[in-house]
Amino acid sequence: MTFLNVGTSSSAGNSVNLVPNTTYRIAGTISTAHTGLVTMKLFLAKGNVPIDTNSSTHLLATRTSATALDRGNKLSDGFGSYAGYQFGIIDNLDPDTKTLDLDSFRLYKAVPAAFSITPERGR
Amino acid sequence: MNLFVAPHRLLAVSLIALAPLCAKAELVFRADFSGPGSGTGGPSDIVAYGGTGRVLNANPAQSNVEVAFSSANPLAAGTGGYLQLTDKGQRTNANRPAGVLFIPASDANSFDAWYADTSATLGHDTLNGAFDFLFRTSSHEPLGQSTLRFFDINGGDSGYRLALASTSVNNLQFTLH
Repeated sequence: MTFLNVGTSSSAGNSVNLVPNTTYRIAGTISTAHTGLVTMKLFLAKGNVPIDTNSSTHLLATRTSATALDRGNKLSDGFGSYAGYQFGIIDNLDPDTKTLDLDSFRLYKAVPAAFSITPERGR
Repeated sequence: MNLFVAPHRLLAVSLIALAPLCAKAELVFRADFSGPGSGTGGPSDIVAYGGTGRVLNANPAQSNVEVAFSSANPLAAGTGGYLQLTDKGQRTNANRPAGVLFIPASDANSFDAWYADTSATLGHDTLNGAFDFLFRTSSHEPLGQSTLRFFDINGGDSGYRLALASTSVNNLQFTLH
């Protein structure tokens, strides 16, 4: 059952019309307030540009949950992703042909003030 | 009462006070897709930091997707190699994923670094984290009906599920279950 989702939809009028052969940065954040309410944000920026996570400049959508996460204390695990997970998967239901290019995937333990441009040095 | 404060002590106090504001979110995993290598941080490795990776293409003939690494026409200046998925048209069989498999060095290098089971202490669980990546496509409508699933991780009955996927034409959803 969906706890919270954020994104674009035709009904909301914020559909994504990507320009072919153009680089985009896609980013997402999750943060939990002291009340337990969860806020999710989804960003899209054209080009290799930084994204300020406190700005609406590249914000596609944001939503905050109506209830706290697991207030009933029923869940005890995260995502199970430490065992390995897939990235960049095409279900390929459509007959159309295309190329999909992916680069510079990064995971952060908290929400950064900004997603910096890539490449970056060090880790 | 001596109100004089030595300048160097004032500077030190100021830096300590500003430290929380300057705190940087910790990067726990990074994949640069420099090549198909399954090591960490090498010049031809998929993963640069926090784990390893390998090509995933369960059945190329049935998925009808080619998984490759290219350095021609990089997504941005200086980014080097990248992962290129060539969709050659409709698949011939269901559930044949094509992409990469990331294997984090530990849970602290995975999406699970976002999660803390704080129900007993705070009365609710806690999720804090972020991801980003660069993306490019040759298609006018790359985000079709369930055609692209960047990630979909599932902690099972006692955990959470998190997905970033296209759900309909030109629409993208980031979902927590």
